[in-house]
Amino acid sequence: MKRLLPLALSLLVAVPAGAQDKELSGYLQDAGSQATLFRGRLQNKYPFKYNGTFFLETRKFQEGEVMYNGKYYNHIFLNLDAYAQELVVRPDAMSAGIILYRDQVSWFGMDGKRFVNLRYMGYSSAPEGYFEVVRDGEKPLLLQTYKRFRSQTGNVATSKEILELDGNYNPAVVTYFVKEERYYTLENGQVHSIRNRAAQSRMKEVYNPQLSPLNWSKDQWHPLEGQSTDGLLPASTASAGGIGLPEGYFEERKATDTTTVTYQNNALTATFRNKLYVIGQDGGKSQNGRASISGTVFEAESGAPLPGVVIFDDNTHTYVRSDAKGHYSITLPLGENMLNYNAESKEDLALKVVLESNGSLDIVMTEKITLLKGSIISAESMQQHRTTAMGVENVSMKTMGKIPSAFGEGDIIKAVLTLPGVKSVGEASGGFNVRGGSADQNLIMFGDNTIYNPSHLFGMFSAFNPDMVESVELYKSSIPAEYGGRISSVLSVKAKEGNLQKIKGSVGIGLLTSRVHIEGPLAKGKTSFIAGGRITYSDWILKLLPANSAYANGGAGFGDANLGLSHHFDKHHSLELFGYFANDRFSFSGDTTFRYTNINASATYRYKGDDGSTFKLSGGYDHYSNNIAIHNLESWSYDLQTFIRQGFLKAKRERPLGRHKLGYGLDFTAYFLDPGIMTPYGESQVVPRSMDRETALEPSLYVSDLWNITDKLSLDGGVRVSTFLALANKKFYAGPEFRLSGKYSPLDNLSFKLGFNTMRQYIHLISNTSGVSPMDTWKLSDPDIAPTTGWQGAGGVYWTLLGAGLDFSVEGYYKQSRNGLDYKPGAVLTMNPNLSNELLPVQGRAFGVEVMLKKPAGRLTGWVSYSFSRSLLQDPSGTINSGAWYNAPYDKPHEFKLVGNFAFTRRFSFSVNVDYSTGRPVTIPIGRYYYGGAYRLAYSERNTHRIPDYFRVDAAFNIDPGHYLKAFAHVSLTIGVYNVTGRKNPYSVFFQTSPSGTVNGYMLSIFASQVPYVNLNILF
Amino acid sequence: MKKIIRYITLLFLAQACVYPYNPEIDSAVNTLLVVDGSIIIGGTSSINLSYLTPLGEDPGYQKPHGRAWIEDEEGNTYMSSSPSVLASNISIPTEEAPGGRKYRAAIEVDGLQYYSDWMEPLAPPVIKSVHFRADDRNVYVLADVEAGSEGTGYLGFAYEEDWEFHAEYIPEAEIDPHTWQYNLLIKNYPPYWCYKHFNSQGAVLVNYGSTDGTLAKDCVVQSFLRTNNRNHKRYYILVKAYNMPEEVYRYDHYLQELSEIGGTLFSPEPGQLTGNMHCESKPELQVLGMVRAAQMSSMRASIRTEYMIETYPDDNTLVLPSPEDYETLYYVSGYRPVKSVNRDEGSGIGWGHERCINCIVAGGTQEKPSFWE
Repeated sequence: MKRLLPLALSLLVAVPAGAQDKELSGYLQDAGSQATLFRGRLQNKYPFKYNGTFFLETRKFQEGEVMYNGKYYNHIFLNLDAYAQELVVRPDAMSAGIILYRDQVSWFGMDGKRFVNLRYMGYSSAPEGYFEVVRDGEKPLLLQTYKRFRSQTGNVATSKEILELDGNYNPAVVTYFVKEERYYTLENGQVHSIRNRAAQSRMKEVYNPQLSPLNWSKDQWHPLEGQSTDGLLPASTASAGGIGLPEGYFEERKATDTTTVTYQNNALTATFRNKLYVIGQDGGKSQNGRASISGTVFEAESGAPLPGVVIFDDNTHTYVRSDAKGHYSITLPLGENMLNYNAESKEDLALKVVLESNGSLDIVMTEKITLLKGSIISAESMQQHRTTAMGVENVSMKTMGKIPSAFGEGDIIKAVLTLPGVKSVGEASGGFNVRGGSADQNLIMFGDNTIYNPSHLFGMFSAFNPDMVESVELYKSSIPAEYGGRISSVLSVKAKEGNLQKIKGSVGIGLLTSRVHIEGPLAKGKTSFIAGGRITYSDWILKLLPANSAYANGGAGFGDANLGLSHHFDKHHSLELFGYFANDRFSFSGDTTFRYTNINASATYRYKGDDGSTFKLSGGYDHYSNNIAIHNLESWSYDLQTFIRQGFLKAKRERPLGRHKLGYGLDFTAYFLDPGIMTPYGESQVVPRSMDRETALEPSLYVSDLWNITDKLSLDGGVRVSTFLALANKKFYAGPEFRLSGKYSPLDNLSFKLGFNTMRQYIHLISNTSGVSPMDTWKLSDPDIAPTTGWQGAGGVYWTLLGAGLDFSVEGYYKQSRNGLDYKPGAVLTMNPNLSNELLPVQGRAFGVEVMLKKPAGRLTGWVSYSFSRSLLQDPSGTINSGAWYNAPYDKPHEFKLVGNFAFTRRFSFSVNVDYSTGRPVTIPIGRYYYGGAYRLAYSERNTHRIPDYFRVDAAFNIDPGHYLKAFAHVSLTIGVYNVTGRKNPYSVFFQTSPSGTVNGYMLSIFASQVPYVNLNILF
Repeated sequence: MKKIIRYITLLFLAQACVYPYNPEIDSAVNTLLVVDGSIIIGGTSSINLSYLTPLGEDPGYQKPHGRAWIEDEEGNTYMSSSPSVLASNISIPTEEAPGGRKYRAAIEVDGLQYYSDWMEPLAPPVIKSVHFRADDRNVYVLADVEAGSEGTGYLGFAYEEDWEFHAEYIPEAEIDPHTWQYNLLIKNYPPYWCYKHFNSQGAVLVNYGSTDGTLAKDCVVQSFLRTNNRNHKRYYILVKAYNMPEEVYRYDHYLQELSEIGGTLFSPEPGQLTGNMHCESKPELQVLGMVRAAQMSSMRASIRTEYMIETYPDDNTLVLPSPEDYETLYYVSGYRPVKSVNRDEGSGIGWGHERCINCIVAGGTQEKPSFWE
């Protein structure tokens, strides 16, 4: 340190002071409040009432000076947000406060005190924030003042303390900010905390201000007023050899700037908020007075792309969202625009850009660490006003983690089920139903791969390890043209990309499962990996279940593993490799063992142009197999296997064209299905046989356009030409699919949307069970089984109230389908070469209204929704219910859902989940008769009765990690109860005939009482 | 920590459970007719009539009484031996009915006319052998059958069993029903050895998984315990086999499954079955059940005592009545003296039900079957 100061000073001396003074002074004078210093994020507004202030001493801003981004500013109004450790500046006393980017502040002075940023000076181990230099010198004494947020009722002493700080003390408000001081010193290049009060006193005495006063003189700090550059630092600092800028300080900062986002290359990267960003070149490419800004949004900490970031322009009310790879492109008028970047749990960013022609602007967003966690979905607020598509739901990973679920495992499918319009036939059932569609009518994508069975442990867990997932989107209505092959919905699960900057990971320990993941750079800033896995140890629980539960003596287990590699060749080109493996096995009462396996692999090449255009080329392989082993039938024991193997190739191009965003692409899928391979087991007399393999090709082309007609009106349309060729019998199907949605926003907080789409589906789940089961088989369309087709029309109103505090929405829809498949009574669905004889093409219709009120931010967050919907089927042949419309198995007319999270403090929160729905339809016996030597049951028409209504309340108490930024590991704990009321919700009903002829009805409840759980997560 | 885990485990154990479920059922269903019929070419056909019993009510003892006959597509009618008598179990001789034509059943009940679909009985399979096999517990009757040119992959089996068995005890005393005195010198021993006959009910279904006429080996037709009285002396079984149309097999098979659905996560959803009967008078009226048509082949086989596991009656089941109870409590209830017993509470002649000492009361007959060797 001693030798650093003279060098630093010499560097400063080398700067022609007068020139700098003149330049800055003139600039500030001319620019006024438009100076780059004041172009940043607005100061924090804490969304709660409180006493005291989060500012250092007083709310009043004081005139001071700051060394910022290598430049010196004075005569500005400053204050320190001591809660967030952010320096806030104002151009004048009346203007709003702007937060200075902390990494660019080297020091500042106000109220006769001097504050330094130790991290800026290279003390990487120093806490974030600013330190008052109490004593300078060889062994300085530094004071960091924090404001803590507390909540306490009626404590007189506390009230007094607050009164001293805030004359506006309100006794009705029980929350307040209180000061906390920490002392530090510097020694041997390290920051040392001085916790001992006696030591603090001694240091104060040794460096008694009276004896060794801080040589702090405003005169010496006014280089703009003609001081020599020596004056950039206090004279005493220079003379005493105390805190000074380290050697090569400015060079180091420059290096840091480039390594923060090493992939930025020549792109303008908005890590600093105090700049005016000039995009493009004067006279460059533009259209009709408009030009496009494109770029990628990155996370500052990891360097990973950020999907789902909302980018909107205040002036034109134009909105876009970054895609899965953080890419975005927005078309704006030439000239000055105010761009806002909102992302969940990230600091909001507001940038002024001067758009001269098409250009690029990459964004780096930092973690939001100051607000309550309730704000984690703040980016979702106003979302519906920003996107043209309707029926699109985003479930954030953090929101998902707060939703109580059985055994405390954060679960993507279970989180999706809390959304309106999404149902399941029962808890612990695989699959889900969206707006009256069957489970196989949902396209479930993990990256670009297709997941055929998204559940583990017969539906108790989803197949996705939440640690490996970046984002989840569910398209219920406006399905983008790039997706096809299913007629009901698309669940797009984006895999997380590994951290490009440092090694990170997590460990989760639950009652039934444990999981681990690790990620990090292989080549910093260029290549990263991410790997994770889960295992279960559920055997022990199943073995102890009651005998009449049908699971006694059973066994179950699963495991899954993910691996991802990504490499950024440069700003434009990147390559990703993705692999996923999941295996399940379980048996009931030890007689039959089920196994199923998902294997997926893909490679994706991406290109991102400066003009906002993107190109993606991906190819991969999907594998799903199941195996039923029946080994207890002696001479009839056998194994039955089915396989789906598919290879795919996808190409997608997107490019902005003025007010249009044009997309087009190609999908090509080759299917290889083995519907059944039966092999004898042991001495079995079962004859080995296999069903004919089904092979088919499904090439599709699509084109789409998002057209922002005016600032208030936009259209999103697309056409997908879908074709299918069954190779074995040369059957060819083809047809267009149309996608159209429109949005009209008469007000910033009010939007109306309409949507219409048609879909086609060529692969069908053949099942006669209520939920997705491993016994189900898949079947491709052929001459006897036509593609399932359907259309949906939908409309919605979206209204944001109370600022952005409440989002209210109403969506209605009507949809029809043709050539869906239902089964004949007594259908034999396995190993049946004439399967089409067992199936009945049915037509379906579904309609409903979904009302939702969402509170995205604040201490209380969550949503409440009510849906009325119907889903009906009809068998034109009259085999089922004489051709009358009948209830689909997942028809649940009334549905009420509530998801809430209340944050007591930043660390402690309480979550609740309420789920009510009408009981699902079932077919039940209406009588019995003697036939064939035994009593038999006569059943009602299909799905004419209902099981009792479903109602469940879950609650959880969450303890989040402490906010010690330097801690090696962060531990979070969730303690909860699933099914708090202990209601015996039936999964199914069944009837058994006793030898005496008595028929007894039973309900099977999967979770028939409270399920307590504890879940521990460790992040490192 | 272990205690916590244990506690959580115990809580979890109270989870997946089965509870009674009693839905409301429309009671109007009890007028539905149930038909269980077989048209046997070259044999005796049968039509059994009953009503559907609503759930929650006792099995219907009130049976429909009607008339039934068989018609063929040539216009021939095959009537029961007492065509004017209304009955619920109707036998119709069809020994003379020729194969190669279609048949249907006709029923008149409650003033309504019912018909089955027209059915052409499939050519009978060839029974290559009927043999026996035993494991530690059971004796299995197995058949090797060649389905023949009209094999469908599905076989139906019926059988007739005849066996000679003995009563459990030879009594040591008899009682005089006038004096209520024991007579140790029995004058008329009750019949000890008898013949018994049993006809299978319903069809034994076999899916041998092939439609190319290959041999269906070791089809299990019947099984019984090695301790069963079928093993006492000699056992005959007449195995009848017929090729079964797929729809008939599936109807019977699924009907059986529907009655055994376990309600587990992956149980198939049940559905309403439609048989091949319809009401001509009221087409909208649902009719349950099915009438099958078959041409049967048959083969008889027998065993003696080679698989028998000998058992001895449990003397503890015998009671020691007080003399004053001989008549009122025991004799009128069918109890008879069996053998002397010696117990802590006393000794004397132990009584047991008459079927223990009389094979006729136990369901046998002294009439020797004609084929008996």
